[in-house]
Amino acid sequence: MLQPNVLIVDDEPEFLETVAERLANRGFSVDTAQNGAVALEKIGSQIFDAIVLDLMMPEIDGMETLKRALKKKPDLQIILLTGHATLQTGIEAIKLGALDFMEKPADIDALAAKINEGRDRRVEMDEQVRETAVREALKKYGW
Amino acid sequence: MDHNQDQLRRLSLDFLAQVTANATHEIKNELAVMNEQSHLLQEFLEMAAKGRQVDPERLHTLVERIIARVGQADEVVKRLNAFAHSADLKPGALRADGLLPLTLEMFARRASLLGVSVEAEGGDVELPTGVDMFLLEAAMWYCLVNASEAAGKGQVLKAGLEKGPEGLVFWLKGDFAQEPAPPEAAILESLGASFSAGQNEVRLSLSK
Repeated sequence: MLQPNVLIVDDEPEFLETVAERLANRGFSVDTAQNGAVALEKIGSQIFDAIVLDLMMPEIDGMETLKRALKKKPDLQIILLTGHATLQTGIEAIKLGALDFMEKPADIDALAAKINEGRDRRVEMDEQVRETAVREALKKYGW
Repeated sequence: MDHNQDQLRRLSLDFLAQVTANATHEIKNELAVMNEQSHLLQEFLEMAAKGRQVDPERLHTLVERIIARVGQADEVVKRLNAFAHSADLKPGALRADGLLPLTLEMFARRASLLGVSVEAEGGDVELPTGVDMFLLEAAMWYCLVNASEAAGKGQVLKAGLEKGPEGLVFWLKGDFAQEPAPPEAAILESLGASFSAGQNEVRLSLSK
């Protein structure tokens, strides 16, 4: 199976660059965005197995980016990364449809495992959609 | 405790909480970057130990970046320390040319999150004796928050401290979409300050 492709969104360029390099060293295909607007553009035009999203960003913050991204693509697997994770923030993010939330600094292997979980969940969702489509087509034609 | 004192105590704690939350987020951010960079450095060293070629220039750059980040985190701590001590300075010990940059540096991250930036203008002004530094800093902070919110994203505000006919004045200039709200009355009353705001300017005047 191909390694997951992941989009990392953070307004701190050196953090973004270093996490991207560490994940790339583990075989992930990594793209980056320095703000919510660029992330939403990339999400609209590309397919990602998981999005790692910083909560505190100027202009469009992580929570708003999460809402807009899931509106575009409800099957997105988003991991919220935050410098000040609170249970309340995490619960809110998960209620909105995030896969999970992690506190900065996150252990890179734990983050990698979460990205893989996101990819697996997305693949599963895709298979379910395909199965439903096939079942409906069979029903439609009476097969 | 009367209502005004109670209100002042609540606002002082709110201001202190905002300043410390801001500074600790900045420090945490620097630590998060250093954490990633030092782990990457460790990974390169592990690769080298396994016989893989690692570019020494890449290691050098990483170390330089970590050193720079330590310096930035140290700046935040120094600023927080200067703020902590500003409240108990003797009159005249902290001049306006120290107060304005300190307040703006403390506010920079919040400004960035609100989508604005604030630039200092003007020179050295002596602060009036007997001024309550903590309350003055709080009043300036709330002026900055309210003006930044009123300005909206993408704006560059100008800030200055000057001696006007009415006494020391802290002003902010920008294009405000709506009139910036004043700091709460309890702060203004305790500081002996007045506030005025228009579409382009905010003035906090200390008449005491």
